[in-house]
Amino acid sequence: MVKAPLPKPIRKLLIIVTITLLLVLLASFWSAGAQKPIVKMATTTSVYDSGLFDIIVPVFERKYNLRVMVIPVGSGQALEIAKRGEADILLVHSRDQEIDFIKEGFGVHRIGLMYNDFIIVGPPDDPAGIRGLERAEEAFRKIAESRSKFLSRADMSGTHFMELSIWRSIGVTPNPGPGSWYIEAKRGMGSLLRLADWIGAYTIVDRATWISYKAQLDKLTVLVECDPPLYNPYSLILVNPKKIPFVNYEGALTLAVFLISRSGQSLIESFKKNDEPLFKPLAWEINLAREMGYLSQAEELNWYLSQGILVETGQRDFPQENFIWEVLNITALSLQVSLTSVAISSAMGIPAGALLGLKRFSRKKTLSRLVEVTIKSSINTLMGLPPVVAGLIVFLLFNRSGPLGFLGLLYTPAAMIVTQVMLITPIIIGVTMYAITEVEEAVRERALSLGATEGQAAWMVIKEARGGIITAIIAGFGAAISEVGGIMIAGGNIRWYTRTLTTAIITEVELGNFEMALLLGVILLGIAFTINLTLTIMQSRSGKSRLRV
Amino acid sequence: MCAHVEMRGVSKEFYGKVALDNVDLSVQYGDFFALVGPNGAGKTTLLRIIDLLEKPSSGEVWLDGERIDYSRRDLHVFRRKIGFVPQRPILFNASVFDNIAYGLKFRGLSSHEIKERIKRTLDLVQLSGFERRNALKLSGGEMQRVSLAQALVTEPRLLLLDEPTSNLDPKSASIIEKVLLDINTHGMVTVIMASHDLQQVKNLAKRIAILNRGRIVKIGSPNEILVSPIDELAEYMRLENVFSGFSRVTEYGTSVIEVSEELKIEAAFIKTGPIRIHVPPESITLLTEKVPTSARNFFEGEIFEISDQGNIIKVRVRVRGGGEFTAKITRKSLEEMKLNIGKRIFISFKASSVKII
Repeated sequence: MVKAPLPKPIRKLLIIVTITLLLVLLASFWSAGAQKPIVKMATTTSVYDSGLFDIIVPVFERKYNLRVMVIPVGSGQALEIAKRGEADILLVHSRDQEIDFIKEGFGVHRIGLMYNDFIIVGPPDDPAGIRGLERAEEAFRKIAESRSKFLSRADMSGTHFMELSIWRSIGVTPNPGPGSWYIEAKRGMGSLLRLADWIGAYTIVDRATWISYKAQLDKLTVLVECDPPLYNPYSLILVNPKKIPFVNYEGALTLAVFLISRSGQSLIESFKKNDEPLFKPLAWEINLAREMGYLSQAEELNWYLSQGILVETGQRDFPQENFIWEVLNITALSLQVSLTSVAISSAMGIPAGALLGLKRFSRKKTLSRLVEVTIKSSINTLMGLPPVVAGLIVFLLFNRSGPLGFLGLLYTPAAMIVTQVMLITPIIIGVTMYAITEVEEAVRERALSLGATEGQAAWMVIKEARGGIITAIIAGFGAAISEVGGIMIAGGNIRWYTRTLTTAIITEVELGNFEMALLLGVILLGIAFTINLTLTIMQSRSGKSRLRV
Repeated sequence: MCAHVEMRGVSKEFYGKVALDNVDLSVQYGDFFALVGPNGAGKTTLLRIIDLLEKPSSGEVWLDGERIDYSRRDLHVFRRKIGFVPQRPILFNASVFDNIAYGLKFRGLSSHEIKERIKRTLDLVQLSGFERRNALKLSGGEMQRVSLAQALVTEPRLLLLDEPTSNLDPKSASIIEKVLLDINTHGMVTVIMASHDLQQVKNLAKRIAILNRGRIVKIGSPNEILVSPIDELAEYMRLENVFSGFSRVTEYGTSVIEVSEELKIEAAFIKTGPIRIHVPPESITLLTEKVPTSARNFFEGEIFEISDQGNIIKVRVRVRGGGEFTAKITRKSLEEMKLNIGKRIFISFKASSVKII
């Protein structure tokens, strides 16, 4: 009956279509989450970045009815999240911490799986004169004595612990104060190498990372290598099901046996970059393993092999390992997470903002002026909540030993959505509140004067503020699609599962794939542009702020 | 028989500033009641109190013989019997049709009834065919007519208007005046209108109240009010540049008012006989030299007073023949023209800016 500029039936249809789409998106998560069983393996960034598991995981998944989720973190963090029940199996390289982990009862059946070695790299002019030295300790002493620049990971990673143990053995305590030769970079291996290359500093690096990166570096060269104390063995540890009952022990064991098996070990051996192997198999090298500190390597090997023949379930569907397919997958997940977050935040934030903006609610006697001011200031503060803090809160709430751990949501898209909802709901509340307040007085009074009830007048105010409410949604979407710190922590940046455009960009930058990072950035901008364009058209249809009197 | 609207000792303060001061007022059914007075006299506040948008600080408001107790129910029931047209239209961001329909939708009318009533109302305010236009994209005069239609469509028994024709194009103004006269005479709708257009008040109102500084200083029929001594009226209205004289029609279709032997003012209306006129100070231009101009009135004089009113400067000029004019100019003009007391100056204004009072 009403002939508005944009016919109402079309508007209603649009709304219905949008809601249906969002529901379908939401449903697709739960079904994706239901594709169990999943084995979660926490591993160090150095192994992860090498790409070893991009080769091994598909082979394994094709054979067994299991899905492997590889969570890339530092060794220290890997042990920490395992204690909280977020990993079923660990592949780490930090001996002392591993021993503690097992002593505390969190881990069982530690076995040496593979190894490579650490090498000392530095500028070709070699100001400390360490080229060709056999002993790493001697090289470190010369670096310290000549006060040549040295870059430390300083991030509690396996590499960092190895570096510290060498300083300890020569009795040097490097002081990272301002102007010191000893620089704490506090960053991943890849970007640390680039930094060392740039400023001409020494550093210590595992061979796998070195081989992956050296093509991108200008000057940095290998100066010291093949010193036995520099061997870098990677341990496989099962998380103890007696200590943490909800781990997928069966799945972890299956994966471990596969990795230890002859076929698993030969996959490791044949993994090469630039024709150089990155890791050497260790599981069956009993003597070498013993030298590297795996005193019960033989017993553990026998134990693993005695765990029965693995049930191979044959081929099952898995996303194709295909570049375009992966980019599409990442893009779709970004959209799913951001749009779902915006939908949920709008559903909560718009009514809340309207309620706070409408005088008839905020001026109620029950809500004193002080309470009102407090609520509004809190919202304004939360609008600036750092994403990393939101991610941390979600991590602490949802990890297996946290209060909401029983939901098992950490490192799932749902956890990413919870994080983003925390971040953008205050934005949507705040902007809606402002939009309502701007038109409230005049519109409410006019509606009352025309015979509206208070409820009808409030509805008119919301209708008149719709341009501002769309602005709120745009602001929320913009924050969601570009957010990275929060979903990185809550989602874990797991390939094929919780990797979004923003976290993928971080990974690609870390790996030095700047072209790929840029491509993902362009896709991100394209999506943001398309959605903002749609919203802006809707906004211009709904007109500008009407209060131009 | 009781009054339609009655106020007893109504006062209203805003943050300690008195807007209305002990007002007693009684408006009968079918009356056309005009409130005149300078800006800030309290006209708008008075209308908003009658529309129950403001609650008086003290005093009583009676509508239809009932005392308003400001319960939510009371406010709602009585507001639905009143139509209010604010000074500046507050329209919704929707079509003209929707804007007018809201008042009826609030009352739960059937869509058929809504359509019928809107058609009739749009005919009345001469906006037929505007149904689908966005109300916020209309001209000022059209918007004001939509605003009037919003009120009329609910068929109120009492219509309140706050300066409904100020700053409007003549066509819209005359349509609105015609509608008001029509609904008051034939529809028996009580009208209370604030205005500072004395000509309009004279043509429409049955009773007039002069409001000044929150008080009703005079109340009566147009004849009683508008024949009071000129200085008294000017004082109440804070009018400046008020002159009386004898008006004669010229061959060009204008009139010339002879204020004194030397001061003759030309006006754009057609009127013969004794008359009182007013030239708004904003419409007077000051010139330092004699230049050709299309303005029909051009006089030479001397500045005898300059008073500072913030950004606006009031300059008073005595012209030959004894007339005193007040002009309002900006501070920038004052500085650029290097005006000072005693300076010789020319004033000019258009015949169309001369108003009858």
